[in-house]
Amino acid sequence: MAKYIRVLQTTIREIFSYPLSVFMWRFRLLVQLLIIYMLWNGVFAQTDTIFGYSKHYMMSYILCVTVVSAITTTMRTTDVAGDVLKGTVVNYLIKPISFFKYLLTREAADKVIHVPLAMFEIGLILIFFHPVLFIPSNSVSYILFFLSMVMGWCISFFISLSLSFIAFWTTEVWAPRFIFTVVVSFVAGSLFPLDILPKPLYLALLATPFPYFFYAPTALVLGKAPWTLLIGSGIWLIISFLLARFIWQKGIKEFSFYGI
Amino acid sequence: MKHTLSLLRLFSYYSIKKTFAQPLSVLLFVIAKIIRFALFYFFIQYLLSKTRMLVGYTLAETLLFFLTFSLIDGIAQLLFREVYRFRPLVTEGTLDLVLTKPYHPFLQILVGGIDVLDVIMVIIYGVFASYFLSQIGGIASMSFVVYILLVVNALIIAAAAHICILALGLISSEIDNSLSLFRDVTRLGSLPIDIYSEPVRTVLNTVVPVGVMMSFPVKGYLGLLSVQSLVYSFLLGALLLWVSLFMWKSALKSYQSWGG
Repeated sequence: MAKYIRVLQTTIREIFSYPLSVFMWRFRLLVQLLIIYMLWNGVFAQTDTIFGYSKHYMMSYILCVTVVSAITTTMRTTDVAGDVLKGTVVNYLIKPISFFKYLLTREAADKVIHVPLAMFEIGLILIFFHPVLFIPSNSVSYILFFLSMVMGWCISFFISLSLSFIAFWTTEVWAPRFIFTVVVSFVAGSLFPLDILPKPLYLALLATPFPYFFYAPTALVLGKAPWTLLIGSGIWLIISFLLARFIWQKGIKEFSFYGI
Repeated sequence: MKHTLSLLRLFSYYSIKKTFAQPLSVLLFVIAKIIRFALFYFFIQYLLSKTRMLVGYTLAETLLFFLTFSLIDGIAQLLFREVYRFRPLVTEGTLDLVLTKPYHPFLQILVGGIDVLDVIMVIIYGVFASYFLSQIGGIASMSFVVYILLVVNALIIAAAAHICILALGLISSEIDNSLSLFRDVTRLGSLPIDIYSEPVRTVLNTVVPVGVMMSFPVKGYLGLLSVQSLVYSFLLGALLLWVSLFMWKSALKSYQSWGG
């Protein structure tokens, strides 16, 4: 355990050694939040409710999903593709640590920095725009929220890792990740609650892993979705873990590299 | 002039050849860009199918704002892609080889690496924008001339911004974050600036001229701009270009070759 705590500390220091990059990344997300917040604000200037959502529910959803996405979006797994291509992945294999646990610890370090910053940005929105928010009073909602968010993080982590493992077979790793990012940005629920979509499309999306990244935790805490979404999260958690492990085991057997 | 054009054609040819060295990546990136465009387009369309209006603009007008933003952003990406590759020239010292050539350095470092992927996207944006322009007021009117002039003005502002980033890169080697900042701020113009409340809206029309770049062309086309606003936008474009060229010349004077 002590060695993973050391990894956590080192990663936090590593991230803070590039403060401008942290600032730019947060600024990018703040701009995205501002656009979506103002878009919905503009929509509610025309009507009191839309797709069954009142303004305060929708604004609560948009702000809450921002925190959820800061937690469940994986950042450090993208580096793995580069490590495989450069061959530096061997550095991890010869160390007396679990590669998966090492990466999970680095992800946790990322959250230690980015979650408080995301909450600070939401604080800015609250100060400047004074939205009326829906605060859930049911403690069960918070438990469901926590469980769903942890599972969402793990699903996102294993799928992102599987994408990086493509590097074992090809150098064309960035284009598939770009497609993945584009798809996630729309169908994971960061722009709108997915249940506003036509029912067949909504149900079809629930069969994919994407809604469990952002939509499921947020909808559960706001009481807009049944607890059964957790079953979908659980199924995709198992599938994504097995997939990542399978690709890793296959890839590592085929991997060869010689030094310089 | 003929010599300049032939050089530009040569640089563009090399850039296209380099891009197509990885044909699978080209295909996947184009698919991803089309997916991103299509999803956001249908999101706006679906959203406004219920309210019909967004801050006083109809669905067609709102889509025209989005398409005009995409068009300007796409053309700027297409033309000024080489700026993204400027940093290594400074840090490795190879910029000297560009500066000593008997042609203007902007020919290589500003417009010398057109992005062929964006050509496809710009054509798609252009076709869609033309459709909505013809739906709203036709393309054979004076309003259309104003629209084109304001789009050209937006591209001049984009060029000025990229020249400023080059100047900054010359004295500090800080390029990537400045480019990210520019792109993030301009994304605020993907929807009508009117969705933002004060003082954000005023800032976006004056201090950071995103409104002039992205919203003014459509507003001009819809006849919502006064003569003073039109004069202001063209003067601003000219002023920003002059300031950027002044910054570039000043940066060049303080530039000292370095690298390894």
